[in-house]
Formats: sequence, structure tokens, C-alpha cells
Amino acid sequence: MSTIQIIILLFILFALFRLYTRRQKKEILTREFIEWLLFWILVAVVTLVPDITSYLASILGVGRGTDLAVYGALLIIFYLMFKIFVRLEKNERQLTQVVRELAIRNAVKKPLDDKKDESIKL
Amino acid sequence: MIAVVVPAYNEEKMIKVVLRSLKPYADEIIVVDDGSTDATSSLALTEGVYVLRHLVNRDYGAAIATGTAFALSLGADIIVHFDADGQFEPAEVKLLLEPLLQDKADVVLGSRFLGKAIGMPWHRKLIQKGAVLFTWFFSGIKLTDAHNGFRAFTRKALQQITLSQDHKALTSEILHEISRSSLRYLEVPVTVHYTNYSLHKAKANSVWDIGRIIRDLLIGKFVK
Repeated sequence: MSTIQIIILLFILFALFRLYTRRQKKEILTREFIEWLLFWILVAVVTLVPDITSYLASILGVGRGTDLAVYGALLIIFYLMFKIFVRLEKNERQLTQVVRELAIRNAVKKPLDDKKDESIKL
Repeated sequence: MIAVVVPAYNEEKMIKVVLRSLKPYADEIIVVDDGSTDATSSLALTEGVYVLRHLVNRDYGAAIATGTAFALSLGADIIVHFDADGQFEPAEVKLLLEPLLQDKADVVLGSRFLGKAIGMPWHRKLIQKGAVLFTWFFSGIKLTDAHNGFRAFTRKALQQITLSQDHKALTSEILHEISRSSLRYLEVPVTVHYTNYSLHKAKANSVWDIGRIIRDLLIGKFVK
């Protein structure tokens, strides 16, 4: 086993440990837990048996197994980035809704002649 | 009842002048102070208009949508959008109202290219022409001026339109919604003044905005 394999495997162990503790604290949903578990198992398998990627690569018509791994990683990263963008936009809109609701509730109009406040409640 | 919605972000220099000159043409004026850090809202309050405050800056589209929702809740029959930086001519509100009052349109859009664009830099013109083509392509609406903040709606029209874009993309969204709801629209000539003040205020309104608008419209499609 090469040094890089050992480093990656140690990292996977760390990641799985973190995943487990987060699940224990109920910070993530069961669905997310399973998704991440499968992902790290996949990484472990690829690390232990790198030839698998070469086999897959030849089926898919990609030159080398490592190339396939890089393509795959890029795709996943782009997908995650897209999801984050959408999530962010959703949060932004929710924030706007809160700000809007407060603005409308606290609408003020002062009559020009006397100085009394005329706050309206909707 | 005719309500004019004025979104304002750090407009203390112009707000009083704009509100005063708008008054003869509106039954109610609704200023949406979009989290200004200057005296915009306190100055607006002295003019006897409604003032709504966004606690934090949510940008143009969000301010317009807040003011519009409030105008509808007040029972406005016609809602006009009007910029606070003094680029538009208040007297031209009448031009936008006419087709609505005569029931010739549900939405009236101001066009600086049918009217006058005083002091408009050439690169702005170029960008605006691009926006016209973009709108024609994506919304199927052929306009002479696709990104003008001077517009008027009937109550009924606004009830069919969703305003969800917080930023400048709102303008594109409105056109898209007009097309989607098959509303009757009309362009009328208006005057837009490009003063040093307005150009300075909107200096971010540049080529970068185009990318931002397209990105917002695209991402918006995926937000539930």
C-alpha cells in the first residue's frame, strides 16, 4: 500500500467518524447520512482498488482511471456549487420576506399639519 | 386611488424634491427606504407620505415589491413605480395613467427611446439596446426600452404578477410576467435625465449588471 493510499484512508476514517458523531447529534438527516456514507465508501473502494476506475474508464471511453476520477469530482463539485447557489437565493428571498413584513407592519405616515404619528397596523 | 411607489436608497439629496414634485399626481406616495444609512426616511416623513423601512438593504426589486404589496393593501387602483433619484419627470405620471384610465392597457411602460434620454452616455444606450433584444428573445415582448423603472399598473394586473426578484432582474421579471399573464401593455414616451448625481448613484449599473441579471433570472428558475 502506498503512502497516499494510507493518507486518504486515514482521512476517510476521520470523515466517517465526524459523520457518525454528527448523526448522533442529529445534525444531519438519515438521508444525508446515507448519501455521505455511500460517498465515502466509494472513495475507500477506489483508493483500495484503483484499477476499478481504469476498468470503468475504459468502458466509458475515458483514457485513464485517474482522469475519470477527476472528471467525476469536477461534476460533483459543480453540482454542489449549483445547489448552494439555489439554496442561497432561497435564503435571500426568505430574508426579503421577513424584512418586507416588518416594513409593512411598521409603515408610518405623518400628517403634514400636526406632528402626531399615525402608525397603521395591518 | 393612485399610489406612487418610490424605492429609495441613500437619496437624502433628492428625496424631498422628488416627493414634492410628485404630490400633485398621486393620491398616496409610498416611499420604501431600502435600509438607507442617511436621512432618507426622516426627510421623506416630513413630506406627509407613507414611509416603509427595510431594516437591511434588500435592493431595488425587493423595495419595489414591498411598496407594491403595501399599495395593494391600501386599496390602490393604479400603482406607479417611480425612481427617487430625480431621473424621471413627475408630470409624466399623467402620460402613464392615461391608457390605464381609458382601459387601453393593463400595464404602461415608460420608454426613454420613444421619449428623451437627456445626457445618456453612449455605452448605456448600447447596453439598453442589448436588453431590448434580450427581452424580445426571452419574453417575446418587443419594446423600445426594456429596462426603465417608470411604469404603471392596474390593480388587476398586479394581482396576476409575482414579483420575486430582489435585484435589478425584477424589471425583466415584470416583462416576463406580463407576457405570461397575457396582459395588455403599452409603451409611452418619457424623459430620463442623466445627471451627474444619477450616474454616480447608479455607477454599478454597468456591463457587470447584465451578468448579474441573467444569473438571477436563471437561478430564480430553480428556487421553489
